[in-house]
Amino acid sequence: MICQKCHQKPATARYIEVVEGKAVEQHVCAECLAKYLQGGSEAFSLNEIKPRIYAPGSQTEQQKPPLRRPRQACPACNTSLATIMEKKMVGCTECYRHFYDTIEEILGQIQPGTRHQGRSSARDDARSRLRNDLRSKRALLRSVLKVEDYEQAAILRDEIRRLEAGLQIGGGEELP
Amino acid sequence: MKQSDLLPAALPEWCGSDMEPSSWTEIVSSCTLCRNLPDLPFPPAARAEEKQEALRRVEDAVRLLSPLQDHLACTEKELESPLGSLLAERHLAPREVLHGHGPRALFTDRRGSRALIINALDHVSIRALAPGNNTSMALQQVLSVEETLGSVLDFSYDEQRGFLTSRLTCTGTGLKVCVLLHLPALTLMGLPKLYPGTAKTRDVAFCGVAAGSGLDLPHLGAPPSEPQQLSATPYMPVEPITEQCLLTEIEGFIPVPPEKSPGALYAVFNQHSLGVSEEEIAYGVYHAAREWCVKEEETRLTLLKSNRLWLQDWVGRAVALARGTHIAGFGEALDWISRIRLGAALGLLRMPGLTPAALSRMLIEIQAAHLANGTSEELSSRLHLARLRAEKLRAFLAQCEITAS
Repeated sequence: MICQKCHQKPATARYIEVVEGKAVEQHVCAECLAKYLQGGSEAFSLNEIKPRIYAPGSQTEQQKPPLRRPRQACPACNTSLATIMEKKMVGCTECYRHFYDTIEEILGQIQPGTRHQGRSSARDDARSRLRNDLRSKRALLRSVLKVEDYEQAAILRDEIRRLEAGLQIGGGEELP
Repeated sequence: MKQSDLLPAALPEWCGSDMEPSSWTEIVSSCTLCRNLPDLPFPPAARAEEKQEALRRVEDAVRLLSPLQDHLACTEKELESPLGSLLAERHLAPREVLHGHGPRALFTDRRGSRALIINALDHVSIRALAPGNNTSMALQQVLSVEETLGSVLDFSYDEQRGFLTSRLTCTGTGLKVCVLLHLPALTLMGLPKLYPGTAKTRDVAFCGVAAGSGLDLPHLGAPPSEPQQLSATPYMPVEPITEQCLLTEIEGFIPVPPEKSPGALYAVFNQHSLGVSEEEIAYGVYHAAREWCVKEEETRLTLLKSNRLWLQDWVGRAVALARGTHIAGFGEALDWISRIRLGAALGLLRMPGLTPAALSRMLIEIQAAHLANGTSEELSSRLHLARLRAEKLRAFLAQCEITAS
């Protein structure tokens, strides 16, 4: 979607503001958002655009739940939302929680999935690691089969069988 | 004393004689794994004392566990010295740590194949290099170091988003995998027109490799009389010292559009890190690199069949220029080495020791910091480096013969 402010760049953020008692949503690019965050609402008049207004409880609103307007800076490291949106860089672990929705949206645009598929933290127990390994190997097997690399697929199949056997010995549940 | 005397290995193992790269086309693979401490701001947003605290904790863990075994430790000051540039030219120190500010450090192993970087863009970046297209070997090495460190350090982790990193392009596995390729035949055939295919299928990006963005090497200050544009030959200028190197950043080699890449060098690297496992990423990059190499090898054979004489001339001219040069710019030296590498691969040249590893070593040794290593101040300038580079090329190619048609 194109930015509803400058009508030139792709929109990367969604804003909900209450104007005269009604929720007004707009999609803007990182640059326009930064301008808004720096200059306040005067520098970024909602009247300039034609907002789409969703009636409370309408189907459209249910399909696209409005985002909570995030605070402008992380309370832990003071990184601004504009920086995160513009540079795709996060200041600290707390930023991931504080700007949850916005980061989720950015990740959705730049990554193929928003759920981690790889290894887990070393703090997790050995069984959890085993399950993660199994999940990773199964995903890799799918990729390998897609490119018809049957030699690699056979190696992976054996490794998956070993991991499955290991989980069964420990009485673990089978992964889907 | 030469700065390189401080390094544990005379040259990195990945281009050493005992670990020959598997092919003429795939030069080196690198994996970089990024991790952060959960209770401190990430380095770009951290204050000096917070960076110092991160440095202290990671250093303590490294000293306690020795995940790199026998290592060399480089402090912030050493990273800013020519030693830092040497490590950067060996692809161990990414430019983020070289050009960074505040407390930071780098540990490298005796073989010059692994590095642990503290306070670049993330608190910990673990890098491993492997010869040729060997992403799984590099991956195993970084995972093994991470596992060792993970036994005493808590890393910022979220069940849904995986490992939390300063760049959202790295969140999830925190892994960046890259393979450096040499594709001269495809370049001759107009590579940019051919490239979109592979990149799309496996979420892997393909790009050229930029020369430059190195340190100024302040002890090599050019004399005031030195002209801005120093012409080595009527065709090629000698570049500023900062552009006489091939550096990396955390994500891999510094990308440029394929048509601007010097020496027919290209890189493939992963674009995604969330929603895919580490092994999938390594395999995706490996496979994409292999596909490029298969295309390159096919194109080489076609060229050899249809244009053997032209190829012999093209390679022979490079040998003649490199063997006769007295002032060699970095860009033109890369171009000659590229053509010589192609000629050697196709059997158009004959010389003892003309192996892929020897040519990979030349790629390292003709860079500014390696040439400047041990030179005295008064001799050092762009022109002096160009002379040293020419000497190195002449010595290397002294016994090179062009095979008969």
